[in-house]
Amino acid sequence: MRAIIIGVALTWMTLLLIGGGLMLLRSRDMLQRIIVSDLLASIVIALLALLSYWRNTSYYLDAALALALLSFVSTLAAARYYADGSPF
Amino acid sequence: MPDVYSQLHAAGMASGLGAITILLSSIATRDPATITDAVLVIAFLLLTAPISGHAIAWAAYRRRAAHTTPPAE
Repeated sequence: MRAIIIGVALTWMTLLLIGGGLMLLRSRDMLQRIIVSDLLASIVIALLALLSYWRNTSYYLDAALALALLSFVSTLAAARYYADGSPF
Repeated sequence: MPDVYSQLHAAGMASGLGAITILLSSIATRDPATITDAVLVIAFLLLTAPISGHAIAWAAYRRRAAHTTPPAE
């Protein structure tokens, strides 16, 4: 039962990842690309959490934490670069 | 999606409701290490999602790119 639920969730998050990739390919604006990359990072964080539940190991959540930190810094730098022409 | 602000709202829903509820379901694993890491990730997401959303919305406001609706396809 648990494997079925986690399998369905993993399949759905993978489909959402494919949809996000298509949205990234269809984006026509720089700001839209920044938003979609932030969204893809949250989807990959959720995928890593589901993988950690699937395999009963907690190390994937450390990778999710590092990915959250990296995506936060990259989104902030990209948005500030787009607004001001320089990240600082 | 009419403009950048609506897309930002939807992205905030995905990060705030989707990822955080999936991380909250770590309670069902009954593993203390997993739950601790998930709580750390939830705290980090709750701390940083509003900051990055504010940065994107501020960039859209500064460049005035959000007030023009893209052409329908």
